[in-house]
Amino acid sequence: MGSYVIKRVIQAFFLIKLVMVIVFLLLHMTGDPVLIMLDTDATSEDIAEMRKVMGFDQPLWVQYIRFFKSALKGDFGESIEHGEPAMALVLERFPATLEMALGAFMFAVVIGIPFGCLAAFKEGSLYDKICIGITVLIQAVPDFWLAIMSIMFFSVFLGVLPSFGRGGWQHFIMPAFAASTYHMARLARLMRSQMLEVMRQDYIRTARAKGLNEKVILMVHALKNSAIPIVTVLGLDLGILLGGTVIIEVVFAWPGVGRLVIEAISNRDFPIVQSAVFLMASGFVLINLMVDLLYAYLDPRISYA
Amino acid sequence: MKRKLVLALVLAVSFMWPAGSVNAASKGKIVLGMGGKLTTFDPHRFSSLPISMHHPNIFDTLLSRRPDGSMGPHLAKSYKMTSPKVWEFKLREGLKFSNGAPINAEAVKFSFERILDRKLKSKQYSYFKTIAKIEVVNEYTARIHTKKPDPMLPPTLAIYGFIVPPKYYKKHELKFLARNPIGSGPYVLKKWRKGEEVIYEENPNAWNKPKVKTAVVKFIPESTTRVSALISGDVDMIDNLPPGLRGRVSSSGNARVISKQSPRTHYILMVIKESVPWNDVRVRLAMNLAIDRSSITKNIMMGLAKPVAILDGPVSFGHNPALKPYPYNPTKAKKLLADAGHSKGFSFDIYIPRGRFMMGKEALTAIAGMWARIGIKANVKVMEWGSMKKIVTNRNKFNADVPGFLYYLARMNTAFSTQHMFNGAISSKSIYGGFRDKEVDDMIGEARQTMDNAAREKKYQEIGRVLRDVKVPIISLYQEYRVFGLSKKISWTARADGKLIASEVGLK
Repeated sequence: MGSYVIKRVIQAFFLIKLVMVIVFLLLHMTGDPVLIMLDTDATSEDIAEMRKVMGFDQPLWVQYIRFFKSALKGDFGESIEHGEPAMALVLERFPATLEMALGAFMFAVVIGIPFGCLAAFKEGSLYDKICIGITVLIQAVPDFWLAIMSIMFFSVFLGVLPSFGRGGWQHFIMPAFAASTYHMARLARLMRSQMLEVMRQDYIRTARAKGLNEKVILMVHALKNSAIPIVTVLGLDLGILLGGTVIIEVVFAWPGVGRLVIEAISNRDFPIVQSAVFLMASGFVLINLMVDLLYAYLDPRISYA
Repeated sequence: MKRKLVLALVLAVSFMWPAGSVNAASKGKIVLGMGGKLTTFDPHRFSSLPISMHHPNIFDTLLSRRPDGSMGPHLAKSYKMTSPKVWEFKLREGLKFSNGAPINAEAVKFSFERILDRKLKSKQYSYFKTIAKIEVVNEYTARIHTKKPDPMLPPTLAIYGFIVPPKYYKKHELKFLARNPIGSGPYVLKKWRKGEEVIYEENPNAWNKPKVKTAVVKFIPESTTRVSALISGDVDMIDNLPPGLRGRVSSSGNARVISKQSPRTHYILMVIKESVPWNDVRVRLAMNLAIDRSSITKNIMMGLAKPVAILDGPVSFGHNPALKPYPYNPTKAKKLLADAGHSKGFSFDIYIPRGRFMMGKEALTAIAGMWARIGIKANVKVMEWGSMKKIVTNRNKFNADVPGFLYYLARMNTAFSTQHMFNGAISSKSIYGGFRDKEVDDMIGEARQTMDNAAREKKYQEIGRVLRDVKVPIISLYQEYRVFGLSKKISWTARADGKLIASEVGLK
């Protein structure tokens, strides 16, 4: 187990390093921040001068080595358009992203999983059909549309929730729910199909033959055995949500990392993009590592030898 | 009798006091919803439209623009050109920054030297690079010496060149200064949560009081959310109202719409070289005559744009009122194409950035349709802004056999400077312009050096005439309106430069 974790951590380091190299190259291939920074009446001398001042006139490999050396010390450079340390700017936005990601994740789990279980439990019933219909509908509806409609209904028409921004729980409900819907519907459908598969297994029949209560069968025997694919999806979902729900952040003026990164990409603010990608890639790798470790608890047959 | 005497004395003193100082403390609170993002409160390092709308709340420039677009003294009480390369500014006396430091000529000298210090990597450097030195004449008089005669300095000083207290800005590091500004503007910064909100509070030392005591600016990038926030009463005023959502605001019953022509001009530039059909001026003229600008401004821009003859609007210095936008004349356009040997038409790519210019893609699609009627096929390519800039700025590196292309741009010219527009789109030195003409370059260069305002204005007007009637270097289009939504309790006069400055917004 210990050697497995060490191996995975080393793998994670090289994976993140590879991601950083790719991001660095892609960013530098797509455009020049100096062109974005200066006005359209800037002369070519202005551009050359600014490029020199910013260090963009040096060969790409020199720029990369400079970036990598600083990054190892935790210095991801100064944001081109904010003039402040890039990583600090990203970390400043991270609590907002974490808040929304965890909120959306909770909505997805608390609503999606019970709905899926119940639908499986009542397979073929009207409830099951309605549940399937709703999940298909929710998955088909774009989240930005749902977000705008919810603002119009709850903020403009009913006037019960604030239309934008971050603050108390009232600010949090609409964006977190809108960000969760796709994941919620997917979880419900996956939960239903997994449960149905498990419920047809011999050991469930045996449990029923023993005269066990249906609820006990469902909660103790079926749920745990359907959990492995669900845990995998949950890990991926949390990673995606932490990566920033850009559209939701923009629609609700939520000050998260996703919005910061989108603005940084369009302005070729390389240090911010690199900081955010480092943070997100590390988070994603860490969550996946935790998911892999969780498998052993859920299914003792899985070993890490 | 004694009481009457005291009253008379009080009245007399109140009339004698300079107008700027008697402003009573402001009251009330407003909440604005703005689309643009604010990146820093360091007044000297960066430049952008949102910056030029926020920084005047905290800092003062030597000169400023009034809402009608006219320029006048601001922190300077007067200014004059003492010789072609020297501008003298007399400061208002006895004023203080919000931290109590005195506002004097030393502060002016420090502020400009800070911008010009290359260690700061200031984006404003190019605006002030003509400055040779700043001379402190006395406590309240400063002189700016330029390397060569520069009539463009005053309009720039009405936008950038904010004056700051030297001691404070020398003492603190950049990271700190980006979030902790000290100036002499109407407000001080009470709180700033990046990407969320800015809270301004009245500056107790302000000589130019804000209309309300507290102004909160909420950053709301999505326009439909801004509109919903206005209608639901979460904010009192919004900027950048999309034309299509005007109806929702007006019909809501609790808000109204204000729109005003801005100095943001839309135009199409072209890579002009020998191998392209539009190397012939008749073809360029035909392409201009084939566009029904009135129809586009009326039907696509929903009345929120006005056709222009070349690049400038009525408020710009050097605008030629005698020049009219090109008329819509497809018959003449077809004839011109035939005369130029292109009766069968031709095709090319035309680029436009995604989501950057108001109704830009829709307008360009309509223009392509109008060109198709005279046999010209334009393939509209919508691109990400940074990628498009890269293609456009590398256009001259392509081989002669690579087809030429066109590109749709828009430029906000808050300096109302025809010179800036020519520099950006017409001059051979422009990094974006595709037109090369020595005669025009010489005319622009000569106007730039002419210190007499009336003579310079005439020169710009003549350049405008030559460009529109003879050279036809671009496809000129229109100036867009800036559209704002206001709750009924807000009192505000729209500015000619299209800016929304919180300290100018009041309550009824």
